[in-house]
Amino acid sequence: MSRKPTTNSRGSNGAPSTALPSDICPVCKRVRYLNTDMRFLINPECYHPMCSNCVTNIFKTGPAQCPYATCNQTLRFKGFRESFFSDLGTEREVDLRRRVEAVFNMTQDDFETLRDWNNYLQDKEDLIFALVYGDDDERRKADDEVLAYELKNKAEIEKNRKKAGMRESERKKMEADARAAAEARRLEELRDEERAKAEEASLNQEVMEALARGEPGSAAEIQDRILAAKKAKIAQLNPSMFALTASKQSSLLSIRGLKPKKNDQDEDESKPYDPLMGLRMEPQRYVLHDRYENSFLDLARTRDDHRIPGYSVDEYVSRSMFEAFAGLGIVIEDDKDTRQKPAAA
Amino acid sequence: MATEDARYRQSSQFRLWSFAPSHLASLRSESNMLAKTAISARLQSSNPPVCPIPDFLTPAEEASLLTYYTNELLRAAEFCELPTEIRATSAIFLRRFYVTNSIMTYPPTELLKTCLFFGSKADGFYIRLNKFAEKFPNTTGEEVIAAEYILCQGIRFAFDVRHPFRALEGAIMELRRLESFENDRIDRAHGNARNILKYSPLVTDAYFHYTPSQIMFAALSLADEDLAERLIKNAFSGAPWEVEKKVVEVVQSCREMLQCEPPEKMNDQEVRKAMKPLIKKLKKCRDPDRVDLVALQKARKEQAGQKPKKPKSGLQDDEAVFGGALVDEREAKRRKMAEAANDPFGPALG
Repeated sequence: MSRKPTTNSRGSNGAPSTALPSDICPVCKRVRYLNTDMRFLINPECYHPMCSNCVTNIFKTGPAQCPYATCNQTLRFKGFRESFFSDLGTEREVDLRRRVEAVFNMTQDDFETLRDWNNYLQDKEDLIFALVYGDDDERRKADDEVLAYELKNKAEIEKNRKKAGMRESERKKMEADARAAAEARRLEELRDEERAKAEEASLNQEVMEALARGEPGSAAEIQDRILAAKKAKIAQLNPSMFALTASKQSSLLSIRGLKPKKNDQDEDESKPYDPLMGLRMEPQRYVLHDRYENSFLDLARTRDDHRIPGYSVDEYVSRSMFEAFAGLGIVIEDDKDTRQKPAAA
Repeated sequence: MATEDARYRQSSQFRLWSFAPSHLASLRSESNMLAKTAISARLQSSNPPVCPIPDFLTPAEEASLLTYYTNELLRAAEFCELPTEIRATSAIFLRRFYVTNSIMTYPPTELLKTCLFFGSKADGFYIRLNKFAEKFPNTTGEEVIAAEYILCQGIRFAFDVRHPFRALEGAIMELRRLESFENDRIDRAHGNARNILKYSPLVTDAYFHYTPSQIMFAALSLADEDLAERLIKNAFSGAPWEVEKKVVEVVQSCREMLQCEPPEKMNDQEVRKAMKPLIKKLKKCRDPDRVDLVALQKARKEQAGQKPKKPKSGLQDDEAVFGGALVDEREAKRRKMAEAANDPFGPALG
């Protein structure tokens, strides 16, 4: 066989081609022309493509070295799969992204400020870049970093994963509910419409029957009467055709795309909502009494024309008492020395 | 932590404008240094260049000048018959502004008018700008508001200043309720303490280092020590004695600070005379670009007006947005990676 090798795995620009081969297996040189059901598999250890026959032949009996020259990876049969993307560079990047994403899986809600969240995203992207495009050293370093982070924050990652899963399932459930409701609504409307149509069709016949029975009034009057009765009936049957009671409509209305209600385990649902977020207002250093002697306030207490609407003497008293003792126990010198240093640096 | 302290900790005064003395000193010397380098660069590049670079103010000189100008501000406020709290707010605005800005950079005589005007606005006491400007010689309304935005930036948009005045009223009411002191004595202490609060904490750094309640107790103990002691004892009756001791120490140190600037100093001609050489020195070394704040403000407004004339960002290509160098760098790196022998896809099969 003196066939000229057609698999030129190097592109014209000298860079190695990362495209999945389309018709010639780079390992056994079998051509698709001869076996049309040829599939190319890759192993995420090294992303070298080879045909399924090669994979079975080489790896079925146990782990072996990658058949590519200079590739020292030991591959297992189990690890082989079909590539989703025809460009293996993309495939590899997506895999790496997925791996980093699984470890660094916090959401924006976990961060206090937008800046922190953006910094976190930036760090993540740097790691991914090092993994995908970095040289050997950078890659190893990034890999170690990911591993170390994973080991250290195992519980946290697992928790976030579960949370994300729950969110996803909740979203799916809501979508399914909305779909089912829409379907039910559609069927109901269809049925009503058909019934209304049938009623309308029977109108003429009923007018004729009424005339035959000899009911009082002219034919036109009879027709009007029956028509009015019919209309009311039809309207009852088919509410979407006529503006009708709101109560019936509201039960059918569904709004999609709402954020799921916050359902955090950390938050104790049994307690009432606290707008002050745990800040307590009752004084500890003094007792607020009903009455304080203050000659300045006497006029405001007794005479209406010394007060403007909304002014309350008690409010003033409680505020003065609070300010007299608020912050008395704070030692700024100790407090700020330790706290502000990192911010100032 | 007591609930009162927790609530005070949420104020911007505690979060942004409370410093340990060493930290405040380092902030001030830093702004002094920055001003020095900026101004000497400007003086040299001016046309004609100012040949011998003048002596700059030291941080200590700046501090005494700031005290002097705060005093001037309080006198001006008295002249304008502004309410006490507004005088205090304006004074604190001025002091806060000159923590991160040097006196050499922005002229304090202009800024103190701006502070007075803006302080009365911040406290909900609205004066007509022109009426306000008329009260000062050679001042237009434009000059008063020229530095308003700069001032707001300088005080980090923290417009709420917590004063000890209402706290003093609370303490006096509590003392009256206790009924263990004569009313005359309480009244006297009330008046004296209020006088001290109107001046001493404003011209010192007390607002930076102590909470309003501590300042109030320090002033009260200056006026009548027994009263303050009694109240502190009452407040900490249930707490361990170390806490009380610490608070008493803090109040004592605040008291020492207030003692340095008694209210009698406000109209002391000697102090004003002693400042003359420093003011002269300041005139020599101030920032040439920021002497005329009105022109500066106008230039800024013009700049802002020209902005929409720029080409729309959508028309810019990616290189301009992301920076060409960055893209090139990344491209070069990618090329390097591709050429490397150990790329993940290995070399071609032989």
